[in-house]
Amino acid sequence: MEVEKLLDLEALTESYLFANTPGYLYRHFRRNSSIEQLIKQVPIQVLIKEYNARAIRKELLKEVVTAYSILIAFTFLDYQEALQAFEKTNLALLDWGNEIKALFVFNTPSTNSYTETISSTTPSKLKIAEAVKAETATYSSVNFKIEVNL
Amino acid sequence: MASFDSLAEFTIALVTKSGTPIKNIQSREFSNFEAGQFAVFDRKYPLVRKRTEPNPIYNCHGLTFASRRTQIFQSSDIQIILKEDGYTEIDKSSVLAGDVIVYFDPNGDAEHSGIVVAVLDGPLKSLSIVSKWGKYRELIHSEYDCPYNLTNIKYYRVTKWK
Repeated sequence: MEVEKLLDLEALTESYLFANTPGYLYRHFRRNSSIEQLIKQVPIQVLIKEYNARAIRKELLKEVVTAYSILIAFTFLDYQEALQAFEKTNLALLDWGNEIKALFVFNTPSTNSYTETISSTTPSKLKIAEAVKAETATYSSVNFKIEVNL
Repeated sequence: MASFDSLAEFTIALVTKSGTPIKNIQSREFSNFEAGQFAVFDRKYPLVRKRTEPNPIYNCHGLTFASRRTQIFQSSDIQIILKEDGYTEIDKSSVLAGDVIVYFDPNGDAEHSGIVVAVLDGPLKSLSIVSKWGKYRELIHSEYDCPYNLTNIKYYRVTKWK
């Protein structure tokens, strides 16, 4: 699949070239609607494969821009799904691959948690919550509720 | 001039005046051939003066704070440099040639920096800046003619030496 054809490559190349920080690249790529369309139109597994091929080759500027576009496209996925996609890509192949993932994690606090309501009949789970340092652990006479920042 | 043949990433020893290491990279993410294909971007900013050809080795912060040797890309490192190299924020009314300008986004990301090369005094005090736009060229441009956030611009001068 010609991933490049789905992207607004001229605008993305400009943002890539002018970026002095990963934050600039992250913000400007996310504002480009073709990135969000990419994740809607191309299966994740295909994008992972395309990323790894382009990030290794890096023979043309458009391949680097496309590789960054794929990473930013992952940031439109659900939190866990995005993390899984990042895990399957070799982030170190790009100068700022790891920084893009870090920005995603930093900028996605609202979904960056796990919440479970635990019945008081299973107090062993409270020990699990304590073991993983749950941010909050509240309980009533009936239930425990834990929230864990992952 | 460094070869662009290698795709390997390079970093150099770079520290502040106090000895704090600064993360950096000499990027190789595009070739010399492609660097000559950027006329489309030149046309978008007709009022700026081109100083160099595009190259990915250093960025704006590398020009401003590291003598054009490498890219500094973490905003937290810019804050460390400003503090440990003795910079003090100054008011725009005091700015002189040689002072540093930093463009912050609303969240504090140091999107861009440059060095003031000319000051046109008057009611609006117009500044001329030399800076490098990411992996693109070194340019001389007015303070407000660049593709960076213009809402939180700050000016600095080295005033402390110990």
